[in-house]
Amino acid sequence: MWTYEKKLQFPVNIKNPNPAMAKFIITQFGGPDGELAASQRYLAQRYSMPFKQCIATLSDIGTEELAHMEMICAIVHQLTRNLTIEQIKESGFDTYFVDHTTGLYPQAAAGFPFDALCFASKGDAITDLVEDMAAEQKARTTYDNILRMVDDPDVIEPIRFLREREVVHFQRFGEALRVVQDNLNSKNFYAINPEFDM
Amino acid sequence: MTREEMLRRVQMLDFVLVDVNLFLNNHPNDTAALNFYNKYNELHKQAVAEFEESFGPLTASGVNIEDGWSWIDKPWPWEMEG
Repeated sequence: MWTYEKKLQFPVNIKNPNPAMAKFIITQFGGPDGELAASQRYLAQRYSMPFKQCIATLSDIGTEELAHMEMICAIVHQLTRNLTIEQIKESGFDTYFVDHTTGLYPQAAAGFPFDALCFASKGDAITDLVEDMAAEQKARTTYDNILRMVDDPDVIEPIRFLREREVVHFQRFGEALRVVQDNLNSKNFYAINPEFDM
Repeated sequence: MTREEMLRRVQMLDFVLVDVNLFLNNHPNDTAALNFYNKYNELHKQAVAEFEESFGPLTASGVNIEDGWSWIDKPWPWEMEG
């Protein structure tokens, strides 16, 4: 189970609204490599994972992703506070506004809604952990792309923090993959699926 | 310390624990990491208790009922102003 802590993992204190920026940062909430997909991917994968180190890694990184989702939502919320209708129309935020006002809705930058197809859970330890390593790199690339487009230090700081966590998680999933391989036949890692045949 | 400074201290100590926790999951017998975790776990507990004493609960179980049901009190984390 989970207990809510009434704080963000890293502070988000944005002074100036900027709906144009919110429109693409929201992709890390509901986009294909966003934090919602990441949390559900890892938390779904852990039930059939056979090794205790890997179960803990999936549980704890999946939980941290929920905290990252909250940070992204805080960023989007603070970028869309106190807007005038003029600002909404000029920034291109009108297409989001008409459906969701300034409520948080999980969608990708291009506007399509969150799709569970983007969180893979294959039931094979090697497959899933390689998927997770790729997922962390895809999220890192997305944060790099966001950092190319933002100039507000209040936004840059928490985005840099999130980007750094992708790199750390990639490292931890790499170690988890080695734990799996250390438990398999070193002459043929693919002789069995440890989530089904062990 | 202001609320913001005290919260920052809790966040920093919390982050130390999150990061070392992930490391320990794959290196559960690393004595240096275990001792490091233990040391910062104590500091984190103290910092949380001090924050909650002055500024209200971080989890529902941190409510002091003498203040009433302060769990619902603002600010919620995303409401922080720059």
